[in-house]
Amino acid sequence: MSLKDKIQSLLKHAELYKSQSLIDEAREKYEQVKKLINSQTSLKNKEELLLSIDKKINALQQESDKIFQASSTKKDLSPQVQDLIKKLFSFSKDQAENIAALDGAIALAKFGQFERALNEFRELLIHDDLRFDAAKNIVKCYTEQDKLNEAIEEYKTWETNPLFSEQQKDKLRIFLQNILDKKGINQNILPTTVAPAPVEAIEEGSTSSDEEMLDISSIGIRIESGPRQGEKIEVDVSFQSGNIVSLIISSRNQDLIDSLNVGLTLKDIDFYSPIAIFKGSGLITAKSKIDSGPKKGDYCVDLKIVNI
Amino acid sequence: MAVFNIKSREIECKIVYYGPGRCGKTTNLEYVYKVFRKQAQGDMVSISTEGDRTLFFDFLPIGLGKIKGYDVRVQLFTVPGQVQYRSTRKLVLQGADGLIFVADSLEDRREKNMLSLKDLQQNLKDYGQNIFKIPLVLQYNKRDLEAQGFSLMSIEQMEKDLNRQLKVPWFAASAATGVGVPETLKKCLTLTLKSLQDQF
Repeated sequence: MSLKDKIQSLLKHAELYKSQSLIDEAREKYEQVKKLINSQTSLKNKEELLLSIDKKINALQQESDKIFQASSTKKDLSPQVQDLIKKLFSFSKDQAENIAALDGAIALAKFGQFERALNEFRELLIHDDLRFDAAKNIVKCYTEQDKLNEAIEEYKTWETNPLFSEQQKDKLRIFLQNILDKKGINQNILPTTVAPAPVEAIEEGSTSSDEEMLDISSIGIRIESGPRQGEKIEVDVSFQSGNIVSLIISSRNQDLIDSLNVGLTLKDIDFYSPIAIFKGSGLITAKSKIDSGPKKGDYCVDLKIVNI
Repeated sequence: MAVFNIKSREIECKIVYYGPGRCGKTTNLEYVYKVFRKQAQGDMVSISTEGDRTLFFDFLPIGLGKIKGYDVRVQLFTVPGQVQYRSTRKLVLQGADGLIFVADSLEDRREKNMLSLKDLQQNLKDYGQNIFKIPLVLQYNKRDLEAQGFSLMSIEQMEKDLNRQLKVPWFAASAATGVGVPETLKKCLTLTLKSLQDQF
């Protein structure tokens, strides 16, 4: 292939990629053309050709910037499309109307439609069973938008709102404080009248009642037998009711499944909660194989938290 | 996730077009909308951004009519292909009953195809689904460009890259002209309805 043909082929590909908004690929082809031109010592109009290619590369860069800017700009959708999102991405169609409403508001938040999501979460605060989840999602909406001051202000209104129980307020305070700490915001939202309960104050061996039990998101268990003995595996908590946590353990972790028998007490467990990691122990109360559905073959193990 | 309504004898299922950015997922759906307008049960909704890139998803509801006494409705979705929209892509994938993976035949998009298929496998895994078990059809798109002198991967190469282990049905296609688009969708619908029949 002659030099002219090579250049023409590369330019043809570059133009196609450009027309398909494949910016990186188009740029790569233009760079290859430049390299080819630069390698020629006796090419007529060499400088002009290079200048024209540079112009094309600059135009691509501008297009790329425009696309980046557009993708990072918040996009408010029409109410009709927002309704569609609620309908299409609420996965609790057969459940109670209130739960479906919460699901719909969560879907809106996931697609960045925060303003309407916030309004819908606020409307759900009147329902006893949804209040805590709705409030948590209000905090999450503000967090996603980096508007933590507004989250704090809204939380303060809940502190004086008789709808919220003391337990709900405590949990929300811990939830929000954890976010503030994670974001490095030096603000303590604990009310001055309530003595803070520092994480360090929770000592190993203290017994936890159902009411006091923290949300456990995952746990770390050490395999006690088999070839992987001693290895620690983190397992997500699929469900928690008081001090009983249900774990789904993949069939790939057969060593761990084999070592977890009903009645066994595990003395070295890491309990991961939103605020800290706690050491503790637990008793295996149930173990069953999942026979159908997407998790078929995996095991469901119930663990009673003995102490934390 | 398919919805069965025994009382009203209705079945609703979800098919998702997956693939790397700019591979032609939206173009597939636009063609389906154009040609099968009679079956469409509403307008096609596209939420796109600058350069016609899908921002959230495209959505097209279609009706297949009565199958074994059941009124079958299908929701067709496309995911945003760009790498940075991972979380949205995963959200749109949730509950899919059948999948069409649209691969870009352009030589320079080889790696992007493979990464996108890997991304699909991982997202399915996160939902407790197995790429080897879900109804899946591959579409090797943009084949029309070969006639215009552009460098495309051979079908053999694409099969080796993407379908060596999966061994799922595949179609050479050109979403821009419509070649292979109905065949791909039809195959996916057949596999999906068969899978639903086996499950329930």
